Amino acid sequence: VSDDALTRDSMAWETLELTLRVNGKQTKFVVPSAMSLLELLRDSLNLRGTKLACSRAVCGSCTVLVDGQPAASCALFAFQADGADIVTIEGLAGKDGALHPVQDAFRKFSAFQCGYCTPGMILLAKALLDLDPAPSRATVVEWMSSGVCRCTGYNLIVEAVLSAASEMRRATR
Amino acid sequence: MTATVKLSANFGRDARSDADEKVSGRAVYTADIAIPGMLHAKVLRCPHAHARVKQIDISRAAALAGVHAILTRDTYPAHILSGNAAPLHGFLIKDQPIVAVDRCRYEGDIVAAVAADNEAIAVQALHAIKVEYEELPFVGTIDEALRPGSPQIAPGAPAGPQLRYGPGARSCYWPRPNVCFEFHYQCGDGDVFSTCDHVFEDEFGFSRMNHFHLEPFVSVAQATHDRIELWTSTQMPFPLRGQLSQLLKIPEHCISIRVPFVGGAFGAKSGIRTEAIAVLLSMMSARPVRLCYAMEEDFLTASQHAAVVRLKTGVMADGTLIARASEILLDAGAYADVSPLVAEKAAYRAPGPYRYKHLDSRCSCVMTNTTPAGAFRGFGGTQATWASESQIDMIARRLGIDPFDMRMKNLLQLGEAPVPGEGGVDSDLSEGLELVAREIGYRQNRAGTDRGVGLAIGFKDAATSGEPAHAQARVKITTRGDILLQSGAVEMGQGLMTALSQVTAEILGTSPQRVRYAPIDTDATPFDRGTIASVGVAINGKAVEHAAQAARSAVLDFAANRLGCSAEELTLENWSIRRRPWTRIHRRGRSQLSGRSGCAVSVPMRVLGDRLGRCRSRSRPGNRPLERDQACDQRRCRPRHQSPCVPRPGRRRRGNGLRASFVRTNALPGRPSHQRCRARLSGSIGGGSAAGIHRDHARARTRARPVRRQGPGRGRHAPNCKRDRQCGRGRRRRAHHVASHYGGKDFART
Repeated sequence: VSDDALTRDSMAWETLELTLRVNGKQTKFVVPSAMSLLELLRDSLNLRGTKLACSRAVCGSCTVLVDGQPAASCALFAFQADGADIVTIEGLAGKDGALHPVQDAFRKFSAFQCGYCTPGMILLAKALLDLDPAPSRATVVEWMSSGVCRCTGYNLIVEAVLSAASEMRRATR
Repeated sequence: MTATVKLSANFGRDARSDADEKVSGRAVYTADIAIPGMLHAKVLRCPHAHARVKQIDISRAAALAGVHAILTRDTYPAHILSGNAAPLHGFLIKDQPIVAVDRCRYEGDIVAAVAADNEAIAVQALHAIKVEYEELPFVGTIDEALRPGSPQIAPGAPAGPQLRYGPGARSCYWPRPNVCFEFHYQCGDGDVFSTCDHVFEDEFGFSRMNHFHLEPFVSVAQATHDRIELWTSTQMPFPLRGQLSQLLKIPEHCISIRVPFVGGAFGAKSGIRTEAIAVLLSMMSARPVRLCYAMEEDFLTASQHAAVVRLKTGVMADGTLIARASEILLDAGAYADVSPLVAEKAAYRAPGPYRYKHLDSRCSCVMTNTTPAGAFRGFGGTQATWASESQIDMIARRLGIDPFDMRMKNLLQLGEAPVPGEGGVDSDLSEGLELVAREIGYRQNRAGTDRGVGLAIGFKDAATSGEPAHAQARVKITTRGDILLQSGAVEMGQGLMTALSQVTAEILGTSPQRVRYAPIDTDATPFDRGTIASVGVAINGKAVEHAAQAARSAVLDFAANRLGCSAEELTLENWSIRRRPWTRIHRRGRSQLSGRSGCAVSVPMRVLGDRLGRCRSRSRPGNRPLERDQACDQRRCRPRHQSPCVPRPGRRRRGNGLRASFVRTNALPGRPSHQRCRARLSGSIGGGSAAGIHRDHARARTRARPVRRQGPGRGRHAPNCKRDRQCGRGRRRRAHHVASHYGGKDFART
């Protein structure tokens, strides 16, 4: 354990007040300053669909959307997201429980194996399709490569994202 | 029992049964488990490669507010010590302590563990623990460990149980310093080397990989006065229960292990990892304890075996393989873990799927002061296959033969035994290889392109060595006609719960949606040996099939009894019972269940269900049920075999991966930019072997290690030779180099 960690831990008790909009719901929090956004989501809000894996912003399992942008919540302090609009995997389905088109495509294509990277992958894909409703395969491959699927199910993930893109275009047409 | 089942049209086409949970984020993994009052644990790791632990002072840490329990060699609960000795674990050789006793054997070895209110306090407590080390000389590589006079890592370490093998195979523990196990197999006459036209000797160096399962090693333990509940991310709940029972001196029936979804394992989660510490801390603090490693700690817990593989292969001028002697050195790291079993497999798989007159395979596990190596998909086969297939390519080029033709000439034929006394090969490898070659356009002229192609064959004996593989399953039909499937097979991404649910649904004539795969709990789930070695569908699937057939018979017998007809007249279709000649049986009321033909009585499953109770079946492929605890009968008639080389005709399942890789080589120097693979898998799925080959080609350009070579080989280049780096500077030369290695001269000249 490094000295950095020790310093961090002694600072952990300083508390901050912040307001976040998580999955459409505005909430006030009092959190330790050293708390990561991931810890806030998982431990304070019990949104455990967001997964902890590398805790170094490398693998993408903890991806959430912060103001529409994909972000590694493990490497983001909770206070950095103060005032932001956060979407997690739990907030993606419609009010009636209907899956988001990206979720549906992942489901149809079985674009997951162990499923640990899946919430992150789905949010990553959603962010892409919000930016670019008609991405090329190369764009999808490049964009999705910021998530690691150790089971190596990449082909199906790319297929699912492309299919979700055309599905979403059809729906908006 | 053996009803012929016609597969329904949508078999295998429905969404996976875990799809909804996984895409919605609702799937629960062990890392997501939280229990009220739960403490969080962290472990203190040794910063030295090899050190004697002189003194551990925990007084400052223990005084911290929020610290509930500290485990060191000095604070072990008394009941688990045998005499004064701390308990040790391991698969065969029990040499690994829960926390370091007299010395630490690698950088990252666990010295102490703390349970506190949260992880931050636990980390603070770790800082407050003072450990006095005396650094010792260490060995970091296989070569260093084998050098005469080098420091011994585990003097006085115990041997494992004696293993019995078939003819030609033998093994021993600690044959020389720093070698914990050696396996040797021999068949045929070694003199045939002198009759060969060429004898090629090549050496291959294999670096270790990490599993990198995304879900960390994690467990949550709750110990009450006579009972331990443990949620853990493991592939082997039942063997784990046994190991914990032995290690912690707790009866197995007091340990209940639950396995939620597993976020990737790849072999890593097949032994005691976080579990023993979590349980002990829970016992000490009388609180539930969660121990979750960080990714860095995962890297310090288990890895694949680094290896040196020396192959000596005798061939005739026309490419006919005659003999092969293999010497494999596995870097076992600081503790033995499953290394002996990996050694058996590596030696067994070194010859590959080819015909030889003489084989001599030797594999040694060398201890070094590095992270312990353990099970990793492929289980020794990866190292052996990579070296073997590379050498086949190299020999083919030296002899001026196309690597494809060389393979076709030597491949085992359908039914042919790989070694004397073995069961025959159960798939047509030649046909498969031809198909792969055709699919990838092997013969296409790629001159002037930036692509090369290569072929390799993975050959794997699935379903574990040792006791014959077996599994159990239970199919329950509830009072309302829903189906609960219980099996100990762990879903860790491979889709097993979908596959097993489909098997059940097909046999019971209903849709997989009606089947629920019950969560694993060792108290309720039928016994299982672990989800390892590609056994899932082949072995567990068979048990599930038998259980479903038993349930089906029970349904039909019950209905026949109620209807006053014979069970043969009835069948199950769309989850309702029909009576031959396919008269639909309608319902008017339960009381009217009579068997008169034409009688309008329906027999909905929910009426029948409450009388069915449960059906149960256990199965091993082609033989009677056997559970370890009930193995006495079996042992009387057949000694316990441990050997992968034991002749047991027809008993071994193999997974064969025929795989070709395209590798485009013009992107980043030294890194394959794109791979596209097509594979034909026959027999059971040899995931590990396929992965080995996949790696084979990916690795070929990413690592450079000189290959020493004697013998009459011409100056061509090994997949990992140094010139690869040099000629990698220019795109064109690089492509040439790779093509010459992978493509062979026929088609890939640039």
